[in-house]
Amino acid sequence: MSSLFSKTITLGKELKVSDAEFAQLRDFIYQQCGIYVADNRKYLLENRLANRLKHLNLKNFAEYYYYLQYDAGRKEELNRLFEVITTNETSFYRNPPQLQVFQDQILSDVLQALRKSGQRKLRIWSAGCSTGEEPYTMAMIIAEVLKTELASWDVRITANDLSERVLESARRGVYNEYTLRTTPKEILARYFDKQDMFYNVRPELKKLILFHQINLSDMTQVKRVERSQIIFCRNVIIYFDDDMKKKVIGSFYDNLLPGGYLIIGHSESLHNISRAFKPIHYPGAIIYKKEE
Amino acid sequence: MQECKSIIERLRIDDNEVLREAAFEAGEARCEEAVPLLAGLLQSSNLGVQEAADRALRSIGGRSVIQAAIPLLRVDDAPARNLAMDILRALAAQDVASLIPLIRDTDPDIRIFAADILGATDNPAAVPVLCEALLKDPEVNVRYQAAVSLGALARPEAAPCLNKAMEDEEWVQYSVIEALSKIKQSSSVGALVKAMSHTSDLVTSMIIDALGEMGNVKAVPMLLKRLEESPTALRNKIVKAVVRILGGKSLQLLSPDERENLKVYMLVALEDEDLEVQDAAIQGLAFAGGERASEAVLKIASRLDADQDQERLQQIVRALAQIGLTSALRSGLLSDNPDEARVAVLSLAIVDDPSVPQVLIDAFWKHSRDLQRLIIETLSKVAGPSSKAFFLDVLDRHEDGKVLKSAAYVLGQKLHLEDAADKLFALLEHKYDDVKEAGLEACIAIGGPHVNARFQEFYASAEPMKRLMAVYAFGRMGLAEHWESLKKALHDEVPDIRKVALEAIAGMCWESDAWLPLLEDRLRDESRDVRLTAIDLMGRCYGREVIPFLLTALDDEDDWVKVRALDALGAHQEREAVPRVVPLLQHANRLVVIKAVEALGNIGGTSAFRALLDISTSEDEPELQQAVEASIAKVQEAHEGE
Repeated sequence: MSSLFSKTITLGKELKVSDAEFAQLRDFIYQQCGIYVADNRKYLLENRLANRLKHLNLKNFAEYYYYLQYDAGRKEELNRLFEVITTNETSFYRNPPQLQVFQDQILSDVLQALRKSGQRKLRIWSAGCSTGEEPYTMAMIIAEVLKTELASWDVRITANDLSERVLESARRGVYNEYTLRTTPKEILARYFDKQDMFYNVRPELKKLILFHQINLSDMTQVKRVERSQIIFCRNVIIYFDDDMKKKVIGSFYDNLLPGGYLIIGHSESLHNISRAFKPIHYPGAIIYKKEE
Repeated sequence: MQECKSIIERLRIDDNEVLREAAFEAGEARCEEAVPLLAGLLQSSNLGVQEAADRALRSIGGRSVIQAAIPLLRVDDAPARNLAMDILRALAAQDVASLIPLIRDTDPDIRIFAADILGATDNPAAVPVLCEALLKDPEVNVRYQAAVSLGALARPEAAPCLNKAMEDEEWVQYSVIEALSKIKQSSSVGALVKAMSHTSDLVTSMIIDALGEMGNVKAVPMLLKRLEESPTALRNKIVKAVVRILGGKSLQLLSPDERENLKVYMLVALEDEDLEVQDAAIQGLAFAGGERASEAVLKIASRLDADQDQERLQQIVRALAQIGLTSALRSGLLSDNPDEARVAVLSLAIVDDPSVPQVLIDAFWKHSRDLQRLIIETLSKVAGPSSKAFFLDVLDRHEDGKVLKSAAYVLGQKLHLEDAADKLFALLEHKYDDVKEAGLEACIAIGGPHVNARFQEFYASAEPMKRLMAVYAFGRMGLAEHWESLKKALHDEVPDIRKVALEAIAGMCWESDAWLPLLEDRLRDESRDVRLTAIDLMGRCYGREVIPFLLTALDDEDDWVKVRALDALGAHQEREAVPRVVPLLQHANRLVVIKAVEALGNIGGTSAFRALLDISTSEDEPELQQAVEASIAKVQEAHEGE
């Protein structure tokens, strides 16, 4: 209730992050998750964290740094910090041209090759899945393509995010109309159950996806992800500095099976990050392929 | 060494995954013996392996990598050659001597590559050899590349050879001009001007840009002389160059005729497709002024995207404000185009003219909510008492939170208008907290018996939020008058109200007889936030009498209460506290330990010093280590000063 007051005696006039505090927090965040908070996001960080400081009754950002290091509630607070620094903006069927290429070209090529080799085992990794819209979209596309054949396939989408809170929401699989605004009506009817104002993902779709927390900057965690034919990592590497981008993209390369595909955000590029992939240009999308 | 041996063995295995991993490891281990094998892997057909070898070589660096990469410049495999080029560019500064002979190679391609790589050395030794190549090499592409690299090195001693090279063919002139504009040597102005008598339109245009870039005043008379005889595109470039060189303000130093002439051309330049030309013209017109300029600049601004063109828009707004309150700005404010109206408001906000508030008030109700927000926010900065009727009207008629907040600020904090109090009190029941807070601050700023009576009603309310606001207001409006109410509020059932009451009585802290017993009670409060506030206030209003309470707080069950007490005792260098602080160096929570260390460092003295020396820290606790070192240094420094 006292959060009504933006200025109080004990909280000081305004919660401003000093350059030294910002550098300390930035390094801490980088160590924890590999996300590099650029200087131009200093005020964004300050604004977004000010409420956390008020809530925790901390006087300045140096105390917040200590809180993150030593307080009994640090683990929970770290998750909140992760939520603050990532935007988690997503929706179903985001960027349709890219998904069309995924459905018509990439997925069909991969499925065909698997059929030919007699291995009906498809593995997809959705790295940075936020609240689940992306992996569920993948699952729906796969179900649409395989139709009745789906039951005879071993399909698994590994979906990770840094924030446990968004993963909880992803596991629940309950969405509102806004996030489903770009979802075709027939898809909505086939894969969701409507309950009041909300839409619940059907269990048969949920079972294709394994959600768990991963810190992409932690190479030992990343190495434990099962090797995949396709990796989606859209609008995630924008948070990393060049070194971390190189590391993360390198680990995607190592995870992909020969001939596998990497799909990044449509405004992102691997220019100056990696030369190991072959970029394939499709109308509306560039997809990166690992050689056979 | 052993590690390198195993890496090298794996670098010989014909398996791409093994090779990639081994190459990365070679880089991480800086394994110089692996360099020949890694250089060979740059020619691997597997891109993943190539990439790993590339990274490893860059990370190892040094003479051996440069020596291994040079032969790859001669291979037919283009990707490998390109990788070698990139590596050499990145590492060039580490061994310039090995690279210099390549610029005299018999193969012209190698000479081009060498000229390119030498540009990345950041080494003055590369200048004479590049100059020699620029002036003497028979191959035009080598000369071109030599000029590019001299520009990259940007060293003044390269200017004479570049000036001379302006006599070369056009292809070389391009890179020479660019290099000269980076070096910015005064001697080059003459060479560039002289060259203009015989260069093509394209090169002339480049020279004009370069002169603008170099910013040398010597070029201005010549550029102005060419204004009349030049076609529009070149003329616009000249306008840009002159404004760049002189800056807007110094345009006043031109003769009246020159200035008037330039103003006409600046208006024409506003229509140029090149944004830099437009911006220079805007910058110049901001000083030249006039209705036509204001109208034309406003039109440009109204076509910009507020998000994408933010910086440019800000510059234009400043230019419009500098031109002043013109008819163009007035009609722009009333425009149906919200973007144009928005720019007009932003400009009026910084125009220095007493009629601006009324102009904005007249436009307010004609616009949609977003513009109204902007107008009233601007008015809250520029309006005075004569605008009070407008703001009262806004409180009556408007429903938007942001608009109401601006009105509340003006009526309360700026005008202290008692007549507005009841209307402002209505805001305290608004659905949004920020509007409530704005209303509350405005009411407090007005003060007086009527406001006081209204807050008394709030204080007696069953609604916690109203009581909270009243307690907050009492603290701000005069403690003596509300002392009894605030004392009672310290026992309110709602912890937040107790906390705000504590803050409210902080102003009485110098009367410790009255103040301390109240705080003492709250040190036993069940709410940790209330206890924290009490300790914090004691630290701010420090005196002998608070010390026992702070010492007791060191035993509080909540670690942050301990931290606040440590901060207070440390800040006031309370030697008496040392025996109670020292045991906290063994506390399980490292935060408490660090804070105890800092407190001891601030307090100083022999006991504190001894205790700090006795702390054992390990390398995996850098924060603690750093705190201990800093505190020891602090105690020593204080001791030396005594």
